[in-house]
Amino acid sequence: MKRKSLTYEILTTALVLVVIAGIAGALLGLVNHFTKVDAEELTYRKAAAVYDGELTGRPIQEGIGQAIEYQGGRVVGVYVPKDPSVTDVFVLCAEGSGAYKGTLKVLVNITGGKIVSMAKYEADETPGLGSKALVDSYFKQYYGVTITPSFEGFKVVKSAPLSGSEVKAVSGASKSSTAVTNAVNAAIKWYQTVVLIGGAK
Amino acid sequence: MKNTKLNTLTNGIVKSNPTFKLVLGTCPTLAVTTQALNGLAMGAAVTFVLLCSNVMISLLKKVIPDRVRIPAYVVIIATFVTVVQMVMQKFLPSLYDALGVFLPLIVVNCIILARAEAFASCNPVLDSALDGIGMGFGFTLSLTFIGIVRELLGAGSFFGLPIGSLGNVSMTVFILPAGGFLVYGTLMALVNFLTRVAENRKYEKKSEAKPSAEKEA
Repeated sequence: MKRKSLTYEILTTALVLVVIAGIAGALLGLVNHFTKVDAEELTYRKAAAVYDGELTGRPIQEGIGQAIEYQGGRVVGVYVPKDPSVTDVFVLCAEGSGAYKGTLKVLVNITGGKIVSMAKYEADETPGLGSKALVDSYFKQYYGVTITPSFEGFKVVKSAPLSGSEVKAVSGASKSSTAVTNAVNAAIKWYQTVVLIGGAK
Repeated sequence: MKNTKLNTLTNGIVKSNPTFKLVLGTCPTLAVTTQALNGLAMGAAVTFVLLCSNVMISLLKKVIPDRVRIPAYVVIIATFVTVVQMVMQKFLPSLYDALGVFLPLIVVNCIILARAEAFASCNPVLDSALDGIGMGFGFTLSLTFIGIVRELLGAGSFFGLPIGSLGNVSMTVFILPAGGFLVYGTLMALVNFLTRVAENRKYEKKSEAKPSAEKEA
C-alpha cells in the first residue's frame, strides 16, 4: 500500500511539473511569436540611425564587402543605399577591441570621403561612463575629416586635441574611447583600400 | 479588513522596503543604478515579475506538491522574466542593452523567491498581488532614488539630461562600484534614521495619549 502511494506521489509530482513547464513553454512560444527580433531587420533598423534611406547589405569577402582588419579594429558589415543613383555612401559596421568589456561595434557612415554620422551598434560599456564614448557628442570629433589614401587614422589623446586627427578621450573612459577609435580607424582603412585605391563605388 | 489590505500594499514601500530594510536584491541594486533610468527600468521589470509570479504561485499553491515547490516557483518566475526580456528586446532595445545580464538574473532575485516562499505560497490571490505591487514599488523607488543620487554626483545629469555645468565637477567614483556601495550605505542609514525618528514620535504620542485617557476615566 505504501509503495503504491509513493509511486502515486512521484507520478503526480512529475505530472504537475510537466504541466507547469508545458504551459510556460506555450506562453513563451506565443510571446516569442509576437516579439521575435530578426537579426537582419535589427541591423537595418540600427543602420537607419546613421543613414536616412533604405540600405542593402553587401556580404563580407565578396567584392565591395571585403573584410578589413586594422590595428585592433575590423569591419564586419558593409551597407550601401538601395537606390543605385546614390554613390559614394557607405555605412560600415566596425568592431573595435580594447573596450572595458572586450569589444564594441559602431556604425560609421562615410559619405563623399568624410565621416558624416555614427551610432552605437553593440556595446556593453558602463552606463554613464564608457557609454559617454558611444554618443553623438563624442562621435562628433570624427566627423568632417577628409579621408585621403595617406590618412593614418585617428589618435586618442587625454589633453585637448592639437590636430583634426586627434580625438579627446572621455574622462575616465579611455578604454571605451580607444575601442571606438580602433573601430573608426578600421572603417577608414576599409574606405581607403576598397574605395580610394580599389575604385569601388 | 480594508486596513489589512492597505498594510499589505504599503508594507514593501517603507516598513519592509526590500532594498533599505530587508537588504535583498543587492547585486542588481549596485550594478544597474549608475543611471536613474536604468534603476527605474529594472524596478519596473522586477515589479511585473513579482506581481505575476505572486498571483500565479498563490493560484497554484494547492496544486504544487510541497517537495518540488522551489523548482516549480523557479519555472514560473523564469517564464515571466523571459517574457519581460523578449518584450524589452523588441520595444526598448537601448534599455535592454543597458540592463544587460541583470535582466535574466531577475530569475534568481531573492526578493521574488522570498515573496513567493514566504507570502504567496500561503496567502490568497488578492493579498499576494498587493504584496507583489507593494514590494515591487518599494524596490523601484529605492533603485530610482539611488540612481538619481549616483547619476547627479557621478555624471552631473538627471535621467540623462545634463544639469548646467554640473558635469564638469562630477565625481566619476559614484558611477563605479565603490560609489555604489557608498551611496547605498548612506541612503540606507538615512532611511533607517528617518523611519526610527517617525516610529519614536508615534510611540511618544501613544504613550502621551494613554495617561490622559486613564486620568479622564
